Amino acid sequence: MKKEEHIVIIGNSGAAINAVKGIRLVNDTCSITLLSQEPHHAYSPVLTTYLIGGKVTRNQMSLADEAFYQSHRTECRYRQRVISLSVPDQKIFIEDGTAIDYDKVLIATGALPNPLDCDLPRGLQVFTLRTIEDAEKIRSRMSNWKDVIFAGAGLVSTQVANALKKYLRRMIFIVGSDQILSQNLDRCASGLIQKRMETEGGTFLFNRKILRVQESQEGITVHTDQGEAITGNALIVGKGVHPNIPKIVPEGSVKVNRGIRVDRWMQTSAKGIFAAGDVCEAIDLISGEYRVTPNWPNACFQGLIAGQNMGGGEAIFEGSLAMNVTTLFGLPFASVGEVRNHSGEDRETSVYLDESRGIYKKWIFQGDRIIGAIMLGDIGENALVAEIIRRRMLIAQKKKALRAYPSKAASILSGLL
Amino acid sequence: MTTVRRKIVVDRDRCTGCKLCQIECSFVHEGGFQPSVARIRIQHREEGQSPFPLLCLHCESQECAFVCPTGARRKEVETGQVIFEENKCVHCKMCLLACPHAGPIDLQEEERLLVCDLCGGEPACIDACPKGALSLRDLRPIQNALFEKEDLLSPGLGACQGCTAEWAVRFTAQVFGPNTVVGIPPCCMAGIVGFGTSAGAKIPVVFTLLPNTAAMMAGVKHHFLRQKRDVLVVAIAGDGGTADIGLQSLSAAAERGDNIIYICYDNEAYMNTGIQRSGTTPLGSWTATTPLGEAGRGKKQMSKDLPMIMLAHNIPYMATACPSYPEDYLAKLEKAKQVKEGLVYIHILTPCQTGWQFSSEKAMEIGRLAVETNYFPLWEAVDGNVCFTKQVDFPKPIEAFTRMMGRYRHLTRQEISVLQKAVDARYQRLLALSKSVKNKGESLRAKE
Repeated sequence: MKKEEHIVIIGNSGAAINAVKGIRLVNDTCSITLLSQEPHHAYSPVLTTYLIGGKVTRNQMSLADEAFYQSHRTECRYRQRVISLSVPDQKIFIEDGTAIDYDKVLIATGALPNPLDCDLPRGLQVFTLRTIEDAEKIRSRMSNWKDVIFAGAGLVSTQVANALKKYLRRMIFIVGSDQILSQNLDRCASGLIQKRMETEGGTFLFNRKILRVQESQEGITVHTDQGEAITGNALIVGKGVHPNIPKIVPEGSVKVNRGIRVDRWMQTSAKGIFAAGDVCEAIDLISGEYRVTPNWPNACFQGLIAGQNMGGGEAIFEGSLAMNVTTLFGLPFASVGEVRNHSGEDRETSVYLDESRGIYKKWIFQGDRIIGAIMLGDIGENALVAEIIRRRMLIAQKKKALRAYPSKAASILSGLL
Repeated sequence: MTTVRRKIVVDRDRCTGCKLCQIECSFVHEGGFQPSVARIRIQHREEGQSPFPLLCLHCESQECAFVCPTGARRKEVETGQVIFEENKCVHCKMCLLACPHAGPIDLQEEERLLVCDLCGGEPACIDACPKGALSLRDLRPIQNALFEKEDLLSPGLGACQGCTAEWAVRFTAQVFGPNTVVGIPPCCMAGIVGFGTSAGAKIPVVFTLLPNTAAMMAGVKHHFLRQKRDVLVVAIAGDGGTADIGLQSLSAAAERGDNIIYICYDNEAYMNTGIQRSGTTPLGSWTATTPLGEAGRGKKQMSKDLPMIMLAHNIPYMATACPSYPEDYLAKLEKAKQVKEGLVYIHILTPCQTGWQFSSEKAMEIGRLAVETNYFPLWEAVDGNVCFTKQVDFPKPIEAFTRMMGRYRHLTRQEISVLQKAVDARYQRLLALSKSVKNKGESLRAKE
C-alpha cells in the first residue's frame, strides 16, 4: 500500500487554517501537522485593534478550536520553533531537538512589524501591534496614557488611535512621508481623514525621521531630524510589516525576493514547499508582477489554494488584490486595487468630492478597465466595484458615464454583474 | 448527497422599485416601517432601466463567511444558507468588500450590518411584492439529480468549442443514465458514435441513417420489449435529420406509438455539412445556400414549426427546451423518462456559434434571449394539452435576439418587423392553444 503523505504547516493563522480546510477538501487520508509558535489556538489578527477598543473579547477572536483540529484530523503542536529545514532529506528540525519528516510543507509564518530604524535605549518599552499579546499589553497599560506618540500613520497606527481615542488627550503622529495612510489612499482622501482626526486630538508631523528616543518623566521623548522633541506617555510603532521569512528557508533552493516567491499554485521554486499568506510574494492581479500583498482576504484565499494543491487537487490563484476597508474616526473608507500609482500613459482617473458631506470617490482606469477605487464617507458600491476589478471586466461603455458622473457609480455599474 | 438549497430569486424585469418589500422586511425584523433598515435594498439604475432589488443571495461561494475574521458569518452546510450572528459582528466590513453581490447592508451610524436570514424559511418580502419579482426557489435540482451520476460521453467529441448541442447531448445522457441506447444519424453530434477505434460514449450507440432514425430506434425498442428488458431507447438527431429528411419515419413512429424518446437538437441549419438551409432555418437568416447579394436577403421562408407538427400527432408527452434553462430541461427529461407507452418528442434549441456567427461565450445569453423574445417559447404538452413552462410577461423585441449574431447582421428595420410579426403570430397561436385547453392534468398517458 502506498504510504500516506505527511503535510506539515508552519504557522497557525488565516493562511494555515484555510490550508487545512483546503487539504481536507480534496484529500481525506493524508496526515497534517501544524506547527505553531504561539501557545494558543489560532486567532484572528484583524481583530486585535477591536480587542484594544474593547469591542471583542479574547475568546471571540478564536479562529479555530480543538474541535476544528479534530474534525479536520490535524495535529496541532504549540510552542514549536522551527530551526531548520532540510530539503534533500525532507526533514524539519525543531528547537527541542526533534525532527519531523514531511512530504509537503507550507510556510505560512505571516509578517512581522517593521522596527523603528533608530537605536532604542535598553529596557525602554515601545509598543507595536501584531499579535494578541501586543494588544493585551497595550490594553493593560492604556489607562494611564494621555498623550501617545505614533511612529508612522499607516492602517495599524490609525486603527490603534481609533480604538484609543476615547481615552487619550493627544495623539501625535510622526510620519515619514507627507500624508497619512500613504500605502492605502491618495492625498485627498487621506487629507479628509486627517482633518477628521485633527478635530479629535490628532497632531501630525510629516516628513520627519525619528533620530532618538529617550526615557523621560512623562514616559518617552522622541527627537526628530528637524530638531523637535516630543514627549508622550507611550510610543506605538506602526511602520508597516515585512514578510516573516524564517531563517529556516534553505538558501538557494527557495527563491526569495521581498517575500517567498510563489507561482500560481502557491508553490515556491522548490518542489513540495509551498508558501501562503503575508509571507509570500504572489502574482498581482492587476499589474501581473510579483508583489507582497499583506491583507486578510488574500491570506485566506492563498491558504485555501495552497491547501488544495498540496492535497493533490488543483487550484489556481488568480492573483492578489490589494484591498482594505475600515472605519476611522467615524469615517468609513475602502480602497481596492491599484490606488497609488496613476501616472502612466493609459491611466485615467475620475474624482468626486463633496467636502460638506465628507464624501470622496475616485475611480482609476487603465484602458477600458477599472483597476483601482477609493471610496470614503459612503462605501455603498465597494463590493460591486471590487468584483468588477477582480473580474478584470472591460467596461468601455460604462467608462464614459462613470467619468462624467463619478458619484453615481452604483447605478452606472449595477447592471454589469 | 441530496440537499435542499433555497434562496430568494429576483426577477429584475418585474421590479418597479416600490419598496414594499423593504417595508415588510423592516417590520418583520426591526418592528418598524422603515425601508432604510431593511435587509433588502433597491438599486436604481440609469434612466430607462428598471430598478432591481439587491439582497444576500446565500450563494455557493460565500466569500463573506470565508473572510469573516470573527466567525459571525458561517456557512450552514445542510441548507447552504449564510448564518449571520449579529452579536459576534464587530463591523469590520470585510464581508462588504468580499461579497460580489452587494448582499450585506451597512448601517454606518449604528455600526451594524444587516443580512437576509430568509425569515427562517418563509421570507416575508416575497408575499409583499405585488409584482411577483421575488420568489423562493430550490436551487439544487441539477446538483441533486446529477451529483452521483456518471458522465456517459467521452471528452473531446469533436464539436466546436463551446457547442451547446454537445452540452445538451451530454446532459441528456447523464440524466438518462447507463440503461440507455442512443440512436443518432449523421449530424454534428455523430461524434458520440466514435472515431476509428475509439468510442465516443460509454453507452451503446446505433449509427442510423438520416431518413430512418425513428424507425430504426423503434425496432431497437421492440427488440428490448421482446426480451422483456426495460431499456430507454433514445433518438438524438439534428434539425435537418428531423424536420426534413427524417420527418416521415418520425411521424410514422409517433403515429404507431412506439415508445422511444426522440430529441431534436435544433441549430437551425445543416451545420455539420457547412451551414446549408434546413426546414427550421428562420426567415431572413443567412446560410451558405441562402446567401446575401443583390437579390438574396437570406432565407425567404419562415421556419417549419416542428413542435406544432409533433403536437398534432397527439403523443403522450412533448416539450421544447433550451440549454439556457437547464433546470427546465432537466424536469422535462425526467418526465420523458416516465413515459412507458407512446413516443416522446423534445425539441431543444441549441444556438450554434459557427452557423449563427457569434462568439462562444454568448451562447447561453442568446438562448435566453430566444426565450425572452418569444422566438422560442418554452412549453410542454401532456396528451396534447399545451402548457408554458416559462411564461414571458414582457417579451423583448426580436431585435434583441437578432442583433446578437452575424447571420442576421444584414437585416433592415423593415425585415426585422416582418420577422417580429411572424414570431408574434406563432406565439399567439400557441397562446390560444394553451388557453383553449381545459385539462391541464399532469397525468402522462403511459402511467395509467
